Amino acid sequence: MSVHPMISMLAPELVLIVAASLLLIVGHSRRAFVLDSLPALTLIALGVALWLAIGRPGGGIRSTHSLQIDALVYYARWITLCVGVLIVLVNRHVPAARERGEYFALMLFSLAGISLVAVADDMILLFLALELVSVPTYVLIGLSRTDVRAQEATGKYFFLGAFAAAFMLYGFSFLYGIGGTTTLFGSSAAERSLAQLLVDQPALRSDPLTMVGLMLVLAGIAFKLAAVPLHYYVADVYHGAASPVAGMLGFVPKFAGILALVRVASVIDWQWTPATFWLLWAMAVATMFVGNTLALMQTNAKRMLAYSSVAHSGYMLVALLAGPGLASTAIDAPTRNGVTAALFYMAIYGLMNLGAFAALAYIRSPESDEPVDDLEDLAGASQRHPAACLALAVCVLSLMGIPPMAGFLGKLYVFSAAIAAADSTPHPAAMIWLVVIGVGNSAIAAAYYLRIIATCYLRPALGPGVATRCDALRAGLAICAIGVVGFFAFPNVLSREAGRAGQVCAAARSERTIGQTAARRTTARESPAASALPRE
Amino acid sequence: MGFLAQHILSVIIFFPIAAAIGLLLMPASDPRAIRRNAFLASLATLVFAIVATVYYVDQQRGPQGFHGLALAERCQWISDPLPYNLGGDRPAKLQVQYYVALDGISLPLLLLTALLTPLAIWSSFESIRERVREYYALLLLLHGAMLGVFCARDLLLFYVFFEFTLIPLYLIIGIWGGSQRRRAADMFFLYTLAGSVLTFAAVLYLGWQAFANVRDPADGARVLTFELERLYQLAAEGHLTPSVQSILFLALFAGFAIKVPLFPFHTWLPLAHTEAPTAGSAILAGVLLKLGTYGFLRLSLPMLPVASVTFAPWIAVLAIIGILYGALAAWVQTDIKKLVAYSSVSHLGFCLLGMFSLKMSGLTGSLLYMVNHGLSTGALFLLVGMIYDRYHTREMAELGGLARRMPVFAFFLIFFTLSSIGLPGLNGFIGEFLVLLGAFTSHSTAGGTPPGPLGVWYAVPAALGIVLGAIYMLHLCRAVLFGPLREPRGSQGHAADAHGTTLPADLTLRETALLAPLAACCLWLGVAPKPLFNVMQPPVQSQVLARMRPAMTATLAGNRPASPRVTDADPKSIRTRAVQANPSARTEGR
Repeated sequence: MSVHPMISMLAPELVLIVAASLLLIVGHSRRAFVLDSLPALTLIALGVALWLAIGRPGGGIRSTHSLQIDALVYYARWITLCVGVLIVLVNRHVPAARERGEYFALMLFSLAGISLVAVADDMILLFLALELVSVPTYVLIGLSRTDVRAQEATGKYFFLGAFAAAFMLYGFSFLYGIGGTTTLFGSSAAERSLAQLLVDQPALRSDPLTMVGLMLVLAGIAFKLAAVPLHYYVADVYHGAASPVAGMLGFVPKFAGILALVRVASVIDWQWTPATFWLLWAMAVATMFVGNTLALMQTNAKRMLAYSSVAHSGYMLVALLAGPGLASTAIDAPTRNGVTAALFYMAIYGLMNLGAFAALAYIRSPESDEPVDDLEDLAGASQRHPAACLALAVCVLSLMGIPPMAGFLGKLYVFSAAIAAADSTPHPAAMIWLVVIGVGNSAIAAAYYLRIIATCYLRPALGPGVATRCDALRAGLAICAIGVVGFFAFPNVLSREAGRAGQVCAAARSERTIGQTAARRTTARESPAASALPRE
Repeated sequence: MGFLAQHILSVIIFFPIAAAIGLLLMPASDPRAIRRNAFLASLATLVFAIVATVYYVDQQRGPQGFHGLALAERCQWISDPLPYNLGGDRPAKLQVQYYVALDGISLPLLLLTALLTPLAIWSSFESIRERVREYYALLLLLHGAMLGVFCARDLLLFYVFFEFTLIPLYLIIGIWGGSQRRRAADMFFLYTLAGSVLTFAAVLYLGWQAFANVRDPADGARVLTFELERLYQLAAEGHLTPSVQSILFLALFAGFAIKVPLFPFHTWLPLAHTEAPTAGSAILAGVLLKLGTYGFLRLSLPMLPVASVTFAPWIAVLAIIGILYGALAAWVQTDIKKLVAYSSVSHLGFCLLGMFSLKMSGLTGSLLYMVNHGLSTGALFLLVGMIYDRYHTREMAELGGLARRMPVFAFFLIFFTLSSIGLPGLNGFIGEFLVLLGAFTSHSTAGGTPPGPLGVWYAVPAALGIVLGAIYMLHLCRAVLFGPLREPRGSQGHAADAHGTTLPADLTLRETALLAPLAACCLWLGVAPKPLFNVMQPPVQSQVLARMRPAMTATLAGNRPASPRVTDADPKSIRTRAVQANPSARTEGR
C-alpha cells in the first residue's frame, strides 16, 4: 500500500493536528480520569510525532506540492517537538480541568505551525503556517489566567498580531506582483519561482516594488521576533500571560519568525541590497539596545524577561545578518554559518527562557501565594526553594551568557559567525561593530540578570512560602536547567544538526549563485545532503 | 596510578567542582561535617597539586631542563564531523579543545592556589555560621575554576574558567560580606564582566585569524582553533599587523587590567576587598588578581608582541601611578582591611612594571611577585579577619597595643608586614629586587638581549613606592600593635562573637596553624628561591621572551616596521624554537 507522498512528508505535523482535534473532542468529557489523562495524551502525540520525524532527508527531489523537506525542516521539527514536550510539562498545571482539552489542543496546533513554516514553499502556505503558530497563542494567553490583565494581553496581542499579519500579507502581494507566482523556490528550475526569477533577472533585486514587498514581509516577521520597532506588545503580553505561557511565547513565535526569515532571505539568496542591509543592521542594534535598556528599568520579573527576549532576538538577528556564507568557502560549523548559529541559539534560548519562566511559575510569593510576578517576590527565595533557585540561576546565567552554560556557546557562535562573515559581506566594519555592540550589550544585560540572582540569593527570606505543587512543572524545570548545562559540555549533538540545517542555505545559495547554467539549475534544488558532499 | 598520572590536571580541576556538588547534596543540618569535608576536599586537591608537581619535575628532569609543557591532556570539546570540504581548496575543521597542561609559569600559581584555598576554607570555620553548605560549595567551585585558568592551554577554555570565577565570588561577597556587600558584589561582577566581554570579542577575532592563516601541520587543513600555540604563531609569522595587534591588545587589556587591577581601573577593588568575608578577601587578593597578570603574561605578551612593546611604556606609567597612588591611599586609610586592599593596588603595579620591562629578571621577578603577593597579602587578610572576629572592628583608631595581649598575633603581623615590604631574607625582597632590576636594566643590551622599553626613569619613582610601602605597613603595625592598649569598649579582650563563642585573647591553635605554612613558604622563598627559579626561567625564556624578541629588536631599534614580517629576521626560527622548546606538546597530545 502506498501512501500519498504528502502524507508521508507531513506525517509528524499531521499527527499533531489529528491529536489536537482529538483533544478538542475528548476535552468535553466530564469524567475526571479522562481530563487528567489529557496532558499525557498530548505528550504521547508529541512522542509519536518525534518518532516519525526521526530520520534524515534522503536523496531525490524533496520539494513538491509547494512543500520542501530539507535538513532545516528536520531541525525545526526536532527542536519544536523536544521543546514542545517541555512546554507541555511546564504548562501541565495551568489550565482548569474543563479547559484542558482546548488548552493542549491549541498548544499542539501552534507547535505544528512551526514545522509547517519551515516546510512551506509557497507564500500563502507560509503565511497560513505563521498564523497557525500565532492564533492559538492569542487564545492560550486568555485561557492561562482569569484576570483583567490576561484579557488585556490577549486583546493587545491579537490586534497587533493581526495588524502585523496584514503587513506581511500585503508584502507578499507585492512579491506576487513581481513574480507572478506564489512559489518561493520550486522543485526545479523549470518551475516558475520567485527565487529562480531573482537569479535570472538580478535587476529585480533592487526593484522598488521588491524592496517594498520585502520590507513589509520583514516587518511582519519582526513582529513575531519582537524586534524593535515592533516590540511594544512584549512586556504587556508576557506580563499578562501566566509564566508557563510566557515561557512558550519566548520560543514559539520567535522560532517561527527565525525560520520564516531564513526562508525569505534564502529567496533573495542572502544578497541584501544596501538599504535592506542597513535596515536590518539598525534593527539588530536597536533591538539589542532597546531590549536590554528597557529590561534594565523593570522591577517586574516577567516584564524584565520579556524585554530580555527582545534583546535575544537582536543577537539572533546579528547571526542572520551574517548569513550562511557560500558553501564553497564556508564550513558550516555554527561558528562560521550565521544561520546555523541562529538556529543553535534559538534552541538554547528556548530551553533557558522556558526554564526561567518555569522557575517563576514554580516559586510563589509568600505574601500573595501567587506565582512570582514582581522581582520582590523572589527575595530570599533560595532559602525556601534551593533547587528551584539553582535551576533559575543556571537559566539566568545562561541568558547572561556566562560559562559554563550553553548560552555562552550561543553567544560564541553568533558573534563568531558575525566576525567570520566580515570577510564576505560588503560591509566588514559593520559586522565587526555589530560584534562589539553585541558583547557590550551582554555586559549591560548582565546588570539586570544579576538582579534576579541577587534577589534570590543575597536577600533575607521574606517568610515561609510554598511552591506550586506540580511534578510535571518540576521535571520540566529540571530538564531545562540540566539541558542548559549539558549542552555546554556536549554541544556537538545540537550543533551538528544545526550545522546540517544551515548547510542547506549555504549549499542552495552557492548552487544558485554559481550555477547559472540550466544544467546546473536542474540539480540546484536537489537534496542538501547530496549537494553537501565533496565535489571533486 | 596510571590514571592519575595521565589525568592529574583534570583531577585537580574537577575534583573540587565535584566535591562542591557533593557538598550541596549533604544535609544542611550538620555544619561540622560540611566544613570538615570541604576542608578535606581542598586538602586533597593540594595533595593532587603536589603530586602533579612531582610528576612535572620528574618529566622535565633531563638535559633540556624545565622547558616544555608537561602533563598535557586534550580532548575535542566543540568539533564538527561534517564534511567540510565543499569544493574549497583544502579541508577545514573546527576544533575547540579541552586542553590543559602545565609549564613553569603555571606551576607556581597552581601551587599557590592549591595552598591558599584550604587555608581560606579553614579560616572560615568560626566566622561563617549561616548557609554553611552553600558557602563551602562556592569556595570549592571557585577553587576549581581558578585552577582551571592556570592549566588551560586553549584560549577559549581559559576564557571559560576566567569568567566562571565571577559567579562564586559574586555570591561569596554578596551573601557573607559586610554591610555594603550587595553594592560591592554588583560592582565587582559588572566591572570585571564589562572588561572581559571585550576580551571575548578579541578571543573570537584571534580564532578567526588563526583559521585564515594557520594550517594544521598534519594534513594542511584550515583549522578554527583557539589553541595557544597556534595563536602564538600568528604574530610570529606576521599575520597580525601592528594596528590589529594594538586593537586586540586593548581589548585583552580591558579584561585583564580591570582584573589586576591597574590604575585607574582599580575602583572596584577596595570595596570588594573590604566587604568580602575573610576567606573571600584572601582568595581575591591571593589568586584572583593574579588571573589578570597571568593573562598579560600568558596571552598579551607572546600573542601580541609588537603591541606589547608599543604599549609597554604606557602600562608602565599606569603601573607607577598605581604604585604611588595605591601606597599613598593605603597610608591614609583608617580601616585596616582597606589599607591592605590599597596595598594590593600598589603591589600589583610592581608586578606589571616588572613584566613590561620585558627582561628576564623583570619577568621572573614579576612572576615571583605574584606568588609573594598571594602569600603575604593572603596572610594579612587572614590576620585582619582574626582581629575582626575578636573585636568586630577594623578601625585602627579603636585598636592599639595589642602586642601585649596577643603576642603570637603580633609576631605574625610583623612577619608578614616585613615580607610584604621586602625585607631581605623574606620572599618579598627577591621579587621586588628583580622587578626593579628589570626596570632599571630594561634598556641595556647586555648578554645580547634586545633593549626593553623601560629604563631608569621608570624604576626610580617605582623605587620610591617601596619606601612608601614600608611607611604605610609599619604605620599599621605601630597603630595596632604598639602604644597604649586600646580595645573597643565592651570587648575587654575576651570578646564573645556574634554567635556566643568566646575566642581566646591570642590566636588559637587553628589560627596559628593557618598562618604557619604561609610563613614557612615566605621564609623558604626568601632564603632559597633557586628551585623556583629553575622552574620558572626556562619557560619564561622560551614561551615569552623568545616570542617577544623580534618585535623588541624591530620596534626599539627605531625603524618601526609596516609589518613585522618585513623586519623579522627569521620568523621561522622563532617558531621552530618554540616548538622545540615544548616537544611534549606534540608528543603528549593524542
